[in-house]
Amino acid sequence: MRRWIGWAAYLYPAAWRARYGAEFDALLDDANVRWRDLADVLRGAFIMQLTSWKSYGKIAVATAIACAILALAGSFLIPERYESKAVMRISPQSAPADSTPGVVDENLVQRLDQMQVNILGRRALVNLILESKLDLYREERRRMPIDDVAEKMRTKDLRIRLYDTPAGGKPGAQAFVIAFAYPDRYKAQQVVRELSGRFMEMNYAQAQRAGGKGNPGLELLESADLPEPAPRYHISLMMLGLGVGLLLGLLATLVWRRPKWTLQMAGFAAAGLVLALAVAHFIPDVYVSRAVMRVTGAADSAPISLLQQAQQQVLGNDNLARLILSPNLDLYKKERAHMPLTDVVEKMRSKDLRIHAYQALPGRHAQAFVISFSYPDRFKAQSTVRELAGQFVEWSLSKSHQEGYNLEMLESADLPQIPGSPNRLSIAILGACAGLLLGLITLRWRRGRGQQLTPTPAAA
Amino acid sequence: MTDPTLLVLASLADGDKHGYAMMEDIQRFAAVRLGPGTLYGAITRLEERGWIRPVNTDDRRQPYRITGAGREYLEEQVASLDRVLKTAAKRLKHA
Repeated sequence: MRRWIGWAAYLYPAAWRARYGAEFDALLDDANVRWRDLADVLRGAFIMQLTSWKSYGKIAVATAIACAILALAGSFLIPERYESKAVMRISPQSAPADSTPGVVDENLVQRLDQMQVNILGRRALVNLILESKLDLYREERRRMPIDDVAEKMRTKDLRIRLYDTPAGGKPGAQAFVIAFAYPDRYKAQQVVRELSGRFMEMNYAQAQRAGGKGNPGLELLESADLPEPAPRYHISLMMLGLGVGLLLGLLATLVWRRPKWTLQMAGFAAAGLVLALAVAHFIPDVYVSRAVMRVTGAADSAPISLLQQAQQQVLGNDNLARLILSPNLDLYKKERAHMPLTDVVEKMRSKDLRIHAYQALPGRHAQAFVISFSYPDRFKAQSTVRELAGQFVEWSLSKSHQEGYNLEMLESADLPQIPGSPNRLSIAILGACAGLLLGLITLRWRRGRGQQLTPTPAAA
Repeated sequence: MTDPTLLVLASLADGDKHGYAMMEDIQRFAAVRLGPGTLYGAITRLEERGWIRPVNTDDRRQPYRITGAGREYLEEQVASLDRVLKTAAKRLKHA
């Protein structure tokens, strides 16, 4: 028994053992120790470990390691994701003027772009998701509008990129990869197969319209594979667990060591959080409606400059003022009550209305662009975008004969379901942080004041 | 009364003692056996607060002595316990 208790004494902090170890051993030698003394020594060692700063560090490290192990175990529970890929090659209809390696044929890119926008457009993806044989994103569709699910698919799970390795085939040919990541490997493969099939169909349709035969210029180099699981980020998750565990451990030791101080700080943080949530509650929801348009036509025309011309015309002061005052929209009623109309127009143009290039494939000229408008009334946001997009199309029709280009609508204005702002979570976190900061300053100030008010022994 | 710090202070009130002597003394006067972990937990706390201090010795057994502050604290605690005991006794008599 004496030996067991002697080993248990090694669980005391090293500093404690250095100070009391010898006399503690002497006590154990003298006393007739029993089994229950083993429990008593273990309890004493645990309490002693909890009451020294060095031990707090050990606790934080232990928590960090425990969290890292949990995160590592959890990373194995995350569902597998499978990425299926297909490689296609698109070749120019005629030999390119410049066949220097690395120079991308603009006609080719435009063809690819047209196909891509049509196949990966919101409506097309929604149809793909809802196809009964695929039935994708069933869980997400329960909690998100279908348009948002399609956007998630397009931006996160689906990738179409130019292939870096030499494409071979005709001079100027360009290979590209279609990749889709999904928890079901068979569905991932099916989606890629479906998409590559649609590229082929669309190319065929384009060739038919141009009076050609077959499916010129587009080949499937590698059909959709049945993927192996994508690498999971065990190490990253473990490191994340380590960091979170360390923070939690430090927080726990702080609570243990300075409970009153921690409680006061938590009070300030909670007050900041509640205040921020109250403020966020009164900030109206703002919805963002979007439409996607594309400049097509003559290859030598510069789409960006055409877009700028159209913007000058459609987003001019008079036109926006007319839009704001139009009876069916009647925008910015409150602002108009205390601001001149010119300022309201300026606010609309600089803050709420956005037009930006829409680049789907990297490293080439933008030909598609997005018009978006943020407004508290989602129906008015949609109507405004619809109106502006219509004006862009009308303006282009009046100019297209002279300039040789065309402006077309790819995706009409959507009706937003979820507000784009305010981000109440961020506001709440910011409020809690501000509360913490204020708490820190207040407690420091009170401490300083307390020290000033305490009489020195000489004065007393 | 089973507060180990008070028991240790009470044990040291009549002279310096090392750990085992304190353990024996406390068992004798309070009929409480403090385990080694509990006893040295109390000794560590009392020394940190300046209520006891080690006495110089060459022996492995380290004796401790109660300080002025420790004695003052013990007196306060005893007075407080005394008030409680007297009140309780008085009330029991009247009941």
